[in-house]
Amino acid sequence: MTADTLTPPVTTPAEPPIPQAAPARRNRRKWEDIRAGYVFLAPWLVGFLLLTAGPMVASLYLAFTDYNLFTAPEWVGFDNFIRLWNDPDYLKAWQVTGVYVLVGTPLKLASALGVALILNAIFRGSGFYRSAFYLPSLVGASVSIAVVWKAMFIDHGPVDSVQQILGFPAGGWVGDPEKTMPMLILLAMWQFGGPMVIFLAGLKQVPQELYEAASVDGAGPIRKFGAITIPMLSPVIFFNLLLETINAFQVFASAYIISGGTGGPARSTLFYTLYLYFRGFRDFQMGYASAMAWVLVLVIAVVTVIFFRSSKLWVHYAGDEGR
Amino acid sequence: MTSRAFKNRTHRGAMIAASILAAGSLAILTGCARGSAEPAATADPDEEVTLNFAWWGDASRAERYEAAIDLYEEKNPNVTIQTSFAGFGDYWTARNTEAASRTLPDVFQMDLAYLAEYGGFQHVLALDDYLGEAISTDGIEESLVQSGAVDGKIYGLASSSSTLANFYNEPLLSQLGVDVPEGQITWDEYDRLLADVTAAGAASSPVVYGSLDYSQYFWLFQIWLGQQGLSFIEDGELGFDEADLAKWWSKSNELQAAGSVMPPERQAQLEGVDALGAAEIAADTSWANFLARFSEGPAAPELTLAMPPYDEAGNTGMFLKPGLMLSIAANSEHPAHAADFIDFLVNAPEVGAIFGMSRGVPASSTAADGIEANELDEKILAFQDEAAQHLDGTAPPAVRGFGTLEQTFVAISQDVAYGASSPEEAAARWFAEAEVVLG
Repeated sequence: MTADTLTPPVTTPAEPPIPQAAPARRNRRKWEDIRAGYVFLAPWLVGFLLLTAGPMVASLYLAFTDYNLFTAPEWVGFDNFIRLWNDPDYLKAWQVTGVYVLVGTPLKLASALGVALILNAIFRGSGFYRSAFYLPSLVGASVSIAVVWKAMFIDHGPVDSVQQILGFPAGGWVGDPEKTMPMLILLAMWQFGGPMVIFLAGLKQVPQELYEAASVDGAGPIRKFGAITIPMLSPVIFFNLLLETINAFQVFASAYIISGGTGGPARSTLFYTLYLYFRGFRDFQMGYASAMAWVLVLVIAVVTVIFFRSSKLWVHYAGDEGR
Repeated sequence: MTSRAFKNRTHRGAMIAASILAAGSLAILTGCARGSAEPAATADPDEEVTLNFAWWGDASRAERYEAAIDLYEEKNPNVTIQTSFAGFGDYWTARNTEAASRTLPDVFQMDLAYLAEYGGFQHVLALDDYLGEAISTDGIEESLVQSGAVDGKIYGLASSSSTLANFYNEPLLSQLGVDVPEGQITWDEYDRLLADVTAAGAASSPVVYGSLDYSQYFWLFQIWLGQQGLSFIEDGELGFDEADLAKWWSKSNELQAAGSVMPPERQAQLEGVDALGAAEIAADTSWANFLARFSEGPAAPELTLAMPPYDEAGNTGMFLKPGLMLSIAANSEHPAHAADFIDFLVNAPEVGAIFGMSRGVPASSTAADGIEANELDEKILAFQDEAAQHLDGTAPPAVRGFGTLEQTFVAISQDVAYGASSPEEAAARWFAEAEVVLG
């Protein structure tokens, strides 16, 4: 504080003391406000710097090194990134993750929107149904659900029994490389609760007058859905799509549990993050794993930018008409 | 001016935060540079010491270790032992991060798969100074002691050992009308036996197959290599070529085509249950000391142990595999006490009595003397005694990346079993992986 007490009194010695004291007090109060802000922010800030930003910076450095956890990292330039493109398992991991993102995410959103539309139409007991349908996504992220899911799709499990009654060939899905992806996508679809609640909130915001006006003009339910509901809901769809896509890129727990921590059978559940984990913690190739992590970050960043750019074309914000 | 002061201050704050951060990451990055304190040659019995001890395993192993530790603490009132345990995967994740920060437990369970990393990079102490002194090796087979060697020094001491064995569910074989093999069995005879079982067991419920697809057994591949006059690792490099591996994996195609083994789709769903224990297969190859585990399976099968297949007498390729090993962390402040504790865990007859055969056959004869063997233990001991006369192979040495080599072997063999890769493609893929791992 020496700096601010030194200069002002020297340059303006003749000025009356009162006007000078007021800004000082105000400044002090402002400073105290700011300080209080930082104090309240500190727990998060410390956590962010030490647990997120620090490791991220470190991993960016490690991505350019050969690091096995046991000896000091050794700088190798772009070697890790070059190796990625010649690694068949890495390309397989992209393929698995890509199918999950491209097929799983739209299906999950469709099921969420479907349920939201139904719940929006129900008046009696809607609160109960809303909670009941939201429940799976509360517990859904946990390990236990993946275990239950696996038990359902195993040989002689409930799904196997049903498909035999319906005349499909017998056999669990867990051991069949062709069926593990559908199984995981079904699991994702079943966890529709999060986006559903957001859709439901969005549906409540759509003004009833629009539907009434459309009815007067003779529009049927499908026309109303396409011309009113979807455009009015587009900001919410955009939000959900973005969030769910980013989540889908990072899926780990369900694949880890269902494959018994192997990414199998025959690499059919070798998701990107699972493979990254194997390389880092099973094979001690931390540099290589860091490179994988940063490629994923960049890909997600690019996808996000594309989403935001394209949103101008299809996302309709109510109140934008004047522009 | 106040605002400038504030700016300075935030700037300084940011600088401090940044330097803490930098220091933190530097510590993480270079945390391996520090050496350890000079080890005391012998343990001072009056010194108050706390040792950390970690292992992987299930609850029953934890109970046994705790009982052994109670005994040890009773005998050494100045030593307190703090324990932690986890499953194999989580255990190694924790140890690996501790290794990076040099905070490993004083004593911890070691596996051959990771010995070369920990020993080669000096994260665990060379035990040579303690062996024969604080740690008695009188009752331990020399080859078993040597299996803990990396670059000529011993970094882990095996507390137990095991050998591969063929398991036959004899009552099930008789029930299916398949002759129970006696004495030596060749590979062709074994394959025929498996095919016969599947043919006879197709009508059973559940369907009985001959065995699991044994071409995915990394350790059986080891003894097969030995029988071919090859070795897995020779002078730090692979001792066989792609064609040998392709030949081994082509067995998978034959076995699957003949229907001798359980299809991979079924096998993948067996998690938590052993096919042999559930009597869904009539034969299998595994570690002899797993007899108790298989016998306690849902079908409680009555199993017999026999030598794995080999074509020529006197060329079995068999060896003693070191079981659970124990190592001392290089960062331990009480290595002499740690060595004394290891001696107790490996050699004490009381510990042998507590563990029985659950660790495998005890490495030390003094520990084995403590065991009151039950019927299954007798079977294992009898088999291992018999097998001891046929050991003409050598256990693969610990090399860096051994764990990865083993795990990718298992993963890639699945591709062959599912028909997703030909044996040749699979072998090429594994060799590409091995090249990266072995450098």
